[in-house]
Amino acid sequence: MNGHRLFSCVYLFMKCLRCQNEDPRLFAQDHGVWYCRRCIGFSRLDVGMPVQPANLSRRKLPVRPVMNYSLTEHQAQASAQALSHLKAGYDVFMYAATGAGKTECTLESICYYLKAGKKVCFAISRRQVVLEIRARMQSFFPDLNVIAVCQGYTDVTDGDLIVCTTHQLYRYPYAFDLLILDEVDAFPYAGNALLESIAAQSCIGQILYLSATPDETFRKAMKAGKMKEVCLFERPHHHPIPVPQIKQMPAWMQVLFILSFCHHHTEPILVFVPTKADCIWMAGLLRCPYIHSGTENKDEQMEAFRDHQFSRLVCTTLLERGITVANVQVLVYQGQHAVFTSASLIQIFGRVGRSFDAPQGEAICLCRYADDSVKDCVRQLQQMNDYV
Amino acid sequence: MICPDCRQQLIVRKEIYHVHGADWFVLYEYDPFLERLLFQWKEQGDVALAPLFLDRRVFRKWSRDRILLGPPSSAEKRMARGFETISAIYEPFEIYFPFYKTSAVKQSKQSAAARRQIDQIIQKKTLYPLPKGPYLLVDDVCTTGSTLTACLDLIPADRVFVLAGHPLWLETHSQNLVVKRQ
Repeated sequence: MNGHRLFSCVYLFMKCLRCQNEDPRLFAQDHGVWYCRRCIGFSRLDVGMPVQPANLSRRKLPVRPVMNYSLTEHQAQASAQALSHLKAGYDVFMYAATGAGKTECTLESICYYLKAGKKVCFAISRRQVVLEIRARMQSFFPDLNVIAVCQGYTDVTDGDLIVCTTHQLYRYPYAFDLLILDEVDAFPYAGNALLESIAAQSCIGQILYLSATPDETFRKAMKAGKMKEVCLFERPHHHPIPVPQIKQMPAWMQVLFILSFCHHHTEPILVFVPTKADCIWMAGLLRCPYIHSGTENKDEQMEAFRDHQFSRLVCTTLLERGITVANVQVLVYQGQHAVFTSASLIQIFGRVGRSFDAPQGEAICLCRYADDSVKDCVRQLQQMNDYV
Repeated sequence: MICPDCRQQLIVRKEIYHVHGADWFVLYEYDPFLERLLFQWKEQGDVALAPLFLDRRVFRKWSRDRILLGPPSSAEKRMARGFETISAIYEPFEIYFPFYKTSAVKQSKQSAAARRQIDQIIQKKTLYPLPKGPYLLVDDVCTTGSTLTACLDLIPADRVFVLAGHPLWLETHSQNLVVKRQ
């Protein structure tokens, strides 16, 4: 075999040991050394260079969570089932409805692994949620050093329990015995092969996936027995998950409906619209603030809405997750728009009825016609309620 | 190196400003996208990006009949990266480096006020063999322009070429704009 053909063969069979990239177009050469360009954003890794395991502290931590409430029967059952599967060495998908309290259902598993001196990580896509989960975990485990690792919080990267964004998992190759991956169907993790590789590489034990909206990949994996499924569709207050009313009408009538609804309701109202441009004119019409990805003071606006400083807020799907406002009513404008996938609609209407004080509320999907996503959203939510 | 969609994100200026007695050619605007690319190349070692930055056709025209001078650089950075940034950007053009810093100060880590004191730190190498001019001073990013004006005070050049100009510098010197986007 001559040198050129040998070179071609080597070139074609290169593989990055961090992100598993094998696409020759995504490698570059630097003075005879090949390196992977797909994961260079994390740091440069030359071909053939092994990924060094993260050197983290390990110690046995016999802790119990401190909670001023008990798990419901369904939560306790889901928690026990998940732990049983994890102990048997399976990865687990916890298919939990929005607001069902899936974070609490992970505590028993966390305690089991920590007691055995194993390393645990809770990873989620969104930075803001990392900080919230870190605070909650610290309150559950006051004696532990629970750290957040995300943009702006990277000085300390080791603790008794690590809460991080999925991006930050690149710091922890071969580190965790239990990796809890929350919102696996959300941007940027969903469909991102690079992040999936890095997440998989960070775990040497079991992965516990959490989501209210599993995509086809996970459904197939569960069906094929590659991971175990644990379902939790009941909210702690035992009320059913709000299933949206579907109202089909032209766009101009939808606007009138929204105006009328806002006029007749005093509760907080979230109006979801498809685009940033829609945000601006709708907010102008309703004379209220709006939030989209380009809004500069997003956090302040959200805080003000939570504090009831104003009662109407127009937003894009940016707020489909992570926002909890007591007694909020939700309207979706132009529900047939492509941006509203079934997963997105399930998350959006999941904002309703999350608190014990207001376990129900109005969830209305306005659309020109009920497309597959709208129908699928209704079907899935109805199935969840029927399951309970 | 980068896809056509990403290449479109580069904000091309190709403008000439008359500042501090010299004509300054600014190729791009220094925005977060370009900043990220430069970081990926310089600090993360993505050498495949190096040829991306300079428009050689434009530079060849601007640098004709001139001796190219580079700003002072850090020996530590050169060793850590394994290459000299300015030489790599302007390859294959030959660059002379007749300046040095009396203390290891990184401009990008200084406040705007501190940056303007740079003329007290940059000096000319006394025994450096430098061909006769005219000279063209080159750099990668012009933020406040303090480094380049300090160099111009030590070795007058009638032309400057920067890869990217910071939006604030471009705005501040908008009155000095001689030739708008070519």
